[in-house]
Amino acid sequence: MYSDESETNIIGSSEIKKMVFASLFAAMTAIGAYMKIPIGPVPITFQVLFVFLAGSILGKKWGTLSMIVYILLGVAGLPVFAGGASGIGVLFGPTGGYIIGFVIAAFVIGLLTERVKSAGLVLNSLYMVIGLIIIYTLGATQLMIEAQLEPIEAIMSGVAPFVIGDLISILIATYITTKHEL
Amino acid sequence: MHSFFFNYVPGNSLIHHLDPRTKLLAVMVASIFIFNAETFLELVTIAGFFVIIAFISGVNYSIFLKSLRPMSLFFIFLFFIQLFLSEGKPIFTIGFINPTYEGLITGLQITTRFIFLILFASILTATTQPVMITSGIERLIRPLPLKYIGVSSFDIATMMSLSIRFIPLLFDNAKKIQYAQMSRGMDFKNNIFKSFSSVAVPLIMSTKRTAQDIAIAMESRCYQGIYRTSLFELEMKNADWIVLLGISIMVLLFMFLI
Repeated sequence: MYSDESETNIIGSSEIKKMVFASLFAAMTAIGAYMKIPIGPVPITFQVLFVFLAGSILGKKWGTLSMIVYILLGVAGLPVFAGGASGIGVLFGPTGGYIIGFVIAAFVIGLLTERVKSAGLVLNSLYMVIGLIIIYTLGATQLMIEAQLEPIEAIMSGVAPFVIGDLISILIATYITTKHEL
Repeated sequence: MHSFFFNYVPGNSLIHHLDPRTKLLAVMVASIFIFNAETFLELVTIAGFFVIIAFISGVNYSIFLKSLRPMSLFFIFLFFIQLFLSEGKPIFTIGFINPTYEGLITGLQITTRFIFLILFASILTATTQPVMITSGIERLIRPLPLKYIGVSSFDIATMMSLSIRFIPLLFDNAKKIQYAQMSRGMDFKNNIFKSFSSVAVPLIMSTKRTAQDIAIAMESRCYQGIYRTSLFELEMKNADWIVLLGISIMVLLFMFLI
């Protein structure tokens, strides 16, 4: 079983650390679905905060992988999706686009952060906004197609209620990314 | 302790003994079928399949219904959006409110479809331990060209196991820190932001330490993302092949009939 192929991707020591942290971020994204601050009609949750942090702290490779692991945890039956849902069904359902958006957003944020060494607050927050737009676009598109909604309805029900909470998440994530490194 | 976190119900049925790979593939095929179901007849057939499979699994129906609870508000919301915002023949009109027959039908169609997507997935999770599903996923993604990304399917399986362990750990730590802060006079009811940071900061620091310890432990034990034997070795039995054959026949029939 120890074939040549598998020996080419032996993981180095700094990679192991990133791998453990990627698993940790997957777990934190899962818990983010339960962390609620009950303000306003829609409680603020912190899932996207960890998506942004995974992308910006771990970089494109491990950030993306941590989100893939998060999805696989849900597939394996742990109630890690928003509201405590689980299973492959959620991915195919109307809200699945947001979850798939997490992966792509983490990838894009990782890609952008890796391009510029030690970006400032403004640049970092710009990256996060791009990531958020990706999540919203994919999420609202799948919601629109599967629930057969008009674009406006999809935005009103799938984007507008979460904007304030997610902007707060962006602020926190930008602050942490700019101040701290792994 | 964290039994609420796992939906697994121990049992001894045919479904319990199937290989996780078979069940994963079956749920994916079922999801595609449900996704494409349009007519009333198709939805009833799907419901029939669910009742039969759930009966064979011997798991109490209430377990499956419990899996719907997190999404229930969303179902209702989707249904009412369709009912009130679709255009078509009105059922009745009071001011702005005019539900339509077309809306009623699409609303029912969409919500039942979504309900069955979740129900079928819950059969998988109710009859298979998360560890087994992890091994199943690992085996299924092994042929993918993951080496171009620089990981192996074993790495992903390890990461999943690590995350599964991290979740209860984070919950426990958060509880401990919360009690510790309360015993120091923190008022969690009236001071939302301060209490949040009073838990979050120590939690993140302690978790970071744990993660670093794990990384060092893995490194000193020479972790390499290559083939490892598992405590739960997977084995395709005759029953698995029969189920897969049945699924393939159904898919072929469906493709040629419609």
